[in-house]
Amino acid sequence: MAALWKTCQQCLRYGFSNVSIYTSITAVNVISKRNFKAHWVAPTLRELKRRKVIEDDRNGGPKIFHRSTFLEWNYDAEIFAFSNRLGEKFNDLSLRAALTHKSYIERETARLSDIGVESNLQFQDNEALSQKGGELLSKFINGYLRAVFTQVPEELIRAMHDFLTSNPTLETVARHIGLGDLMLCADFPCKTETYVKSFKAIVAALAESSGEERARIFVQDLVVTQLYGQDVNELWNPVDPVGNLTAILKREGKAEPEFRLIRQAGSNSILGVYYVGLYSDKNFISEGAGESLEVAKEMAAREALKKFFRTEDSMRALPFGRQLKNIQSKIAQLENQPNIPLSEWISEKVMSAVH
Amino acid sequence: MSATKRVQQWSTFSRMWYLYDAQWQDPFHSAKVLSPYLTGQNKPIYHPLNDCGDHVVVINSQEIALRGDEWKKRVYFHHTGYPRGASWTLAWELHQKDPKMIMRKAVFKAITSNLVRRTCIERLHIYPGSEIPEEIKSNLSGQIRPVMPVPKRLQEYSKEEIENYPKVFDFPNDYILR
Repeated sequence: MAALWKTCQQCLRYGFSNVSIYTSITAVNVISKRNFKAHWVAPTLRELKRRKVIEDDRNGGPKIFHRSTFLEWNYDAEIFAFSNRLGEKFNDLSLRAALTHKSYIERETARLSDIGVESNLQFQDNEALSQKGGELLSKFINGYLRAVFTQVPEELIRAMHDFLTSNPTLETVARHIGLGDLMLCADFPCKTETYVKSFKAIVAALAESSGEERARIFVQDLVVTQLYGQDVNELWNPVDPVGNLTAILKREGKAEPEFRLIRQAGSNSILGVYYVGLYSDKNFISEGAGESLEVAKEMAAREALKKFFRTEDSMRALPFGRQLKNIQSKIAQLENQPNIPLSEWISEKVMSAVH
Repeated sequence: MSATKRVQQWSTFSRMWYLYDAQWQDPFHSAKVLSPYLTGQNKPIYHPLNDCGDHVVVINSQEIALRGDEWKKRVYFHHTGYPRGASWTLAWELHQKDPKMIMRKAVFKAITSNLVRRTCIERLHIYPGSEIPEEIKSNLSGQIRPVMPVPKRLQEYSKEEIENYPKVFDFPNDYILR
């Protein structure tokens, strides 16, 4: 307490003079003192905390309240702030419709009819918007993936699309742009499906208000970025890499793949490791490691496929923002043009990388 | 963990098996070279608690070369723990009894004295000759360069090499050497 008063005095002193606080580094004599609270304070607080924890566990978690139950809640201001926060222009009606759920409307009309008031509220729910938004979302994501991953078969594009449009991913995005406070829904805490529906409706509302181009960029910046740092090969890899590799090489007119043991260590021990190299007509393609020859062979085939599809660990980082400026039209073009499936994949057919 | 990451983890933490030929090498200098491999200090993933040491197979430990008169002068002390249990054994005597001991003791001392030293020395396999059991031989994955280059003896040169060797001068055929 004494230390606080002393520093406050010094601040006041410096405040009234024209000297900056940062010029001199005089040693401020800060003495840390023990806090002499009464003997019953700590045990009381401890007991209260213990009881709170038990009560919370019984209720299935600590009580959470919606932001609107706290002071200074202005829904109109929040809506305005939301669109400004994202840097987008929304039609007021579209945005409000996107955030209103059917469950909320039903609850409100039921509540009003209970009171006896006839509801002539013109609420519009987000069912139609969310449907349209879902389609737009899929379209924009597919366009981006096909423009960036030109060498990749359609199965992997589909897997990446499914990952990006999955409920957990979209819920994460929706939460982080603050839809939790803005949504009008009957359930609280809101379910995953509610968040996802709202987000899709937001995308559709944006397309309506500012045009598809803005909505495309919005989806790229917020949804597709969830792919950043994710190993795409974890999302999908072919079941039989050796078979698929042989088929691809045959289609391209190259020699059959030949697997050779490059190096090994500790083959007799439990920590044995084998490195198998993959060659086609004596040309090195890839190498794979493993604890047994079979695993190493499969990994070599997988690495070769990754090399063909340009999805190695060392692949280029995904482009976003300004890096996409020149290829937005190309992305729009590829939205309805699927990549080659794995069964027909051949390197001559795939386009060169767009970026 | 994806398949790629699992395989990457496995190969990063795998143990190498090195071969070292101790023919005419100084065991103490060799020990200084071998101990980093046994402790794993040659690896970027090294940590004292990581247990990432490699195996080293030493062959021809019978043929090691000690410097100067160390064979006669170097003494190995041992005490059984019982009264009058002290013994001093000269290097040549110890080498006669067990040709692997000198190498092993040298490497043991070269490894820093800590609790992992016993584990590391377990991974040192010494053989007096050049024969290695098949189980060990199949594990080998690398070789460590000998500390001193092994000179080539005159008997190991072929007749053609001797005849074609560049000479400044040679005795005439009918000259008789005394």
